[in-house]
Amino acid sequence: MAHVNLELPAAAAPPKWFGTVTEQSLNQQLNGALNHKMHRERWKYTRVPPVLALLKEPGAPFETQLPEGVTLRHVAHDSMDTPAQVFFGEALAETLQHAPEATAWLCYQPNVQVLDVEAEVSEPLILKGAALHQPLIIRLAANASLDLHEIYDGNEGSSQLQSIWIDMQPGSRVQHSRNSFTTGTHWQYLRVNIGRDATYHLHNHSAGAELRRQDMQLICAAPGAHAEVTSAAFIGSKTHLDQQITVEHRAAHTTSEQTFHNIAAGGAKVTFNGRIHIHEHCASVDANLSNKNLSLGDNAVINTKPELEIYTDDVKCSHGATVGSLDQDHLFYCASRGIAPQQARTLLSQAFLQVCTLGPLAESAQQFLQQQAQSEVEGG
Amino acid sequence: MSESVDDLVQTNAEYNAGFVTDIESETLPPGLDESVVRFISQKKKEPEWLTEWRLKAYATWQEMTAPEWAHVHFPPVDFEAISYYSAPKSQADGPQSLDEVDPELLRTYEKLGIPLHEQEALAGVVKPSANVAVDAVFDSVSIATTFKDKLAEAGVVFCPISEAVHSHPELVQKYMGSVVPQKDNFYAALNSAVFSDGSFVYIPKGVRCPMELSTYFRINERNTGQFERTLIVADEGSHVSYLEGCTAPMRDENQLHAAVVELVALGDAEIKYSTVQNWYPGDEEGRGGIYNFVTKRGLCAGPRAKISWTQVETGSAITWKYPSVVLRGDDSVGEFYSVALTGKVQQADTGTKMIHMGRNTKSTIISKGISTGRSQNTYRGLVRISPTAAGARNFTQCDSLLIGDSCGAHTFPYIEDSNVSAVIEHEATTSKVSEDQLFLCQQRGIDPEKAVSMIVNGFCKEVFKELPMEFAVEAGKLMEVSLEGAVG
Amino acid sequence: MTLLDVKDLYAEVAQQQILKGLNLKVNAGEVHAIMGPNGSGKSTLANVLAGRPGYDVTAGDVVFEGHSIVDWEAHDRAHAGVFLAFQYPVEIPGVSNMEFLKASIDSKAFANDEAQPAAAGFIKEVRKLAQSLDLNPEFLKRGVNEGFSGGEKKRNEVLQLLLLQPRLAVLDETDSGLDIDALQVVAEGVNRFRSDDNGVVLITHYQRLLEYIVPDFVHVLADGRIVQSGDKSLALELEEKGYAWLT
Repeated sequence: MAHVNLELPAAAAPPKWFGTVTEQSLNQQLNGALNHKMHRERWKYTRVPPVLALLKEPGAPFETQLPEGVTLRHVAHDSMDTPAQVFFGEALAETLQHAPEATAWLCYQPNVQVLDVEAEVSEPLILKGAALHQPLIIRLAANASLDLHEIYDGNEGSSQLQSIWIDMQPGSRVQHSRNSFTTGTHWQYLRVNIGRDATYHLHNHSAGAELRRQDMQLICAAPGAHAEVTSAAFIGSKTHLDQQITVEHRAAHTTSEQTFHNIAAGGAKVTFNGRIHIHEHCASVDANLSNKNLSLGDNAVINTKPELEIYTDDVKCSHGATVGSLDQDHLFYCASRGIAPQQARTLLSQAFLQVCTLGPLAESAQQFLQQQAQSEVEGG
Repeated sequence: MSESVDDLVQTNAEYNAGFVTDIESETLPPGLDESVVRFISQKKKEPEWLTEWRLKAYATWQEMTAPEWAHVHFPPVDFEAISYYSAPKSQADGPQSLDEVDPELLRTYEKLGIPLHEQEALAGVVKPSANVAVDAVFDSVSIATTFKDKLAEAGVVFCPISEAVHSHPELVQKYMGSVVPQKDNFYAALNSAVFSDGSFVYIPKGVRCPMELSTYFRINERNTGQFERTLIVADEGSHVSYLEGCTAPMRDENQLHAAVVELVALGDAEIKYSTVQNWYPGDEEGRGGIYNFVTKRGLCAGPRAKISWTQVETGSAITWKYPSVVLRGDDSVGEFYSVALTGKVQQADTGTKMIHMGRNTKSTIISKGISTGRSQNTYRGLVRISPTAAGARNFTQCDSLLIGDSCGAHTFPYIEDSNVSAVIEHEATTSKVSEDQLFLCQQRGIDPEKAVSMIVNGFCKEVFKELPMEFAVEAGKLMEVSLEGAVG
Repeated sequence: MTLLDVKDLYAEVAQQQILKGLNLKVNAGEVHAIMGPNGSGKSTLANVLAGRPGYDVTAGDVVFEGHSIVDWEAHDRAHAGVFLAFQYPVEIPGVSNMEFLKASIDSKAFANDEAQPAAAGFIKEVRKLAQSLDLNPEFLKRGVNEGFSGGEKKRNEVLQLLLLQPRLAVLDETDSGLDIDALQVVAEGVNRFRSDDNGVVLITHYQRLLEYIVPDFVHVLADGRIVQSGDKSLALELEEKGYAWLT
């Protein structure tokens, strides 16, 4: 199939901390990665140009109140103290291959925000505001912990972008909650490097938008690393959500658990691509993924692709995906107990999302998602 | 004291079908241009429309580029180094009666356990209980078709496609390319241009084919490609079960096998298509072996039609095939049952596509992949529910078994749903043959090699039970032989 | 006649020394109970006797009917007549019980140059045995131990014991996790197996089983060695006093 060659806006001089890479080579690699067949596969069901267009805009810093134990600095590229290879935990070329757009965004901005967490932080760190945010780098020291909240709500139609890179040293913990309920074009990139015996947990709650694309790359980089994701989304009439998640097991004795529940209303389009990648010689890995989709209205389009890529035998791995509408038996059971069909549909839809609505932002997320489900069922 | 699973995955068993038949052949020099296409067409004394059809395919092919696949790695195929026509000399003019078939050829098939002598098959000399009509394709041509008379009584047409072009031109012209168009993909286009032979089956309205039909493919000549084309048409309310088997000699170079299989099931008809693929897989270092790039697709054209693919894949250096079903008729049913076993440095990228278009269409996919050695085994599948397919259902179960820590097992299932009333379920698991299972077997006196083969057979049971009886036994044996390769 | 002679046996698992100079002699017609606290090496002994990979004999010898078998593979020992009833029988999905039993008995017959039993008679015999052990014959069609309850798995082990008729049966905590009814069925099976020609090594943590299978000898295993031997009264003493006084 012939395709248009995609092009990123040309980068300025590569940031110093990227090492010896030349401007030409960086741009070549970025565009090569962007047009690579594996990467285009990730954009099979969503148009990439609106997202690329965002990358040309200037970014703004996050507005936040810092809890105690956390420092936030705006660092010019020249002053970054960690070489990219050390920070990414892999060769730059590999990072480029996995995330050309996010790496480009990292290069194009004059500075990055660096958030250092040195200890156990009890108060949550709250990130808010609909904007194109400068790249945020979060570094957790050994045994540090962070409760991270991202809240994007209201009926703001403006474009948004977040690219968050988290590096977790041994024994650290992150509980990450994210409510993404705005209606404009929104691209969210998230990458987490999970160190030895570190635990990362994402509670992801989303609504459909004009275009919402969530790229997540979780890397279990050392023994004992554990990644967990629970995600619930309601994709309302004629809105769009595209979730791409890769969990990589790069070390033995690592575990991951992912559950995604999505409801698509009439005319909605939802795409889910979940990939579990277990590298060679990584024994005793336990990795599971479940993606369930409920289709509520006509002309909804649901694309799902749970993938396994496994290069060693001593693993326990499973994935499952279902697509369907509300269970007739459940509806009938409700009816036999006197619950009207419409109410039953609302109840069952809400329950379907509720099991994946967890963490500190669960209450506000539930409120929002339940109301969406209710108005969809009753409005339709 | 005793081997662990890892230790067992060492040496190499023999490929039992790896011998070469010494027979004089008429073989075209390597290379492909329009004159080669015309030569093949002329050799078969084809009507003009077919020559044109081939030339159109050739023109299309020339404009296409060879596909690259994300998870399959091999050097580019040199299409100029392949000979596109090879036939045993005595057979150059097409199949004759069995008595006239070169005895050397009959011995080849006998060695492979394929009964071409009807009397012997019936008397149970070669293969007890086998009541199977066989079309044997040797390199580029069909050399013998058995039980023609008995089938004719039932009105069933089973003959080489080169013969059907003359005896049933209206059927061939109507259906050939109707399921897999010439321009469908690179290898399908190539096949459409240069296909040499293959089998043709027509089951008339309401007829239940009285016996299993089967085609046996054998590549013998060096540097040849095999481009057979199979077309099966099951008219309304008819039923047929069909099996293909494949082998090739052990050779150092890679050989290309690019077949096209088209199935058409009209209303209430049922086609069951089973494959046991045992092409030469290459040696321990990946030298030689068949590139098996095959397009197989069935069309459920009418209501309540059913197409069922069952495949047992143990051979080939690279397998790239996705036997698919287009479910156009309302209430039609598509099934795909697959066992793919890879060893050495084999690569298998196989799966299915279920395209739901009609209302209340149903599909089932059961795929079992076993990876050993340094092989890579990929399931790739697509379940697409079109907006018109109200009430469609799919169930997919995809299991991988890994033996040894240097092999890979991958699952890429695409699910695309555009109808609110569809129900789709997909499950996949990965496991290994555990040391505990092996030890339990050993403690009960079953040696490790037999134990692994038992465990793998158990793992594949859901698929094997879909095979016709005789072939289920064959498949079990083939797995055992192939695993010896993995288990030493 | 001496069936089994374990001589000053040292064995390790994952480079950890578990058995440290163990001696045990079992004659035909005898039932030996091996008791001991958790971690004393009871299960290791069972697995070493059966030749489980990963259990390495570092010194000493295991002599079975006059042959040193420490270098034999597990299936060769099985063919010679060593049977281990597992504490946690593993599941083998898709391989039916009947198929598994036939493969087992055929392998043994083949190795010993005996005739393999005809399928029809064999199936009948197995079904009869299953019934006598309160196992629904339908289980025979299911995968080996697949979806069996704990009790069913143990009864399945006893079924195999009775079918294979080994010379030496090693029962590794066969009583664990059984309710009293199941325990009686299992014990009855083992008692049926007992004869003057074979021997039984009964590994158990509790005295309870020994009320149903009366042993000729009771040994106490502690820290990889047998520290005390006696008759069945020793078991009662252990029940009363625990293991602490011995070590």
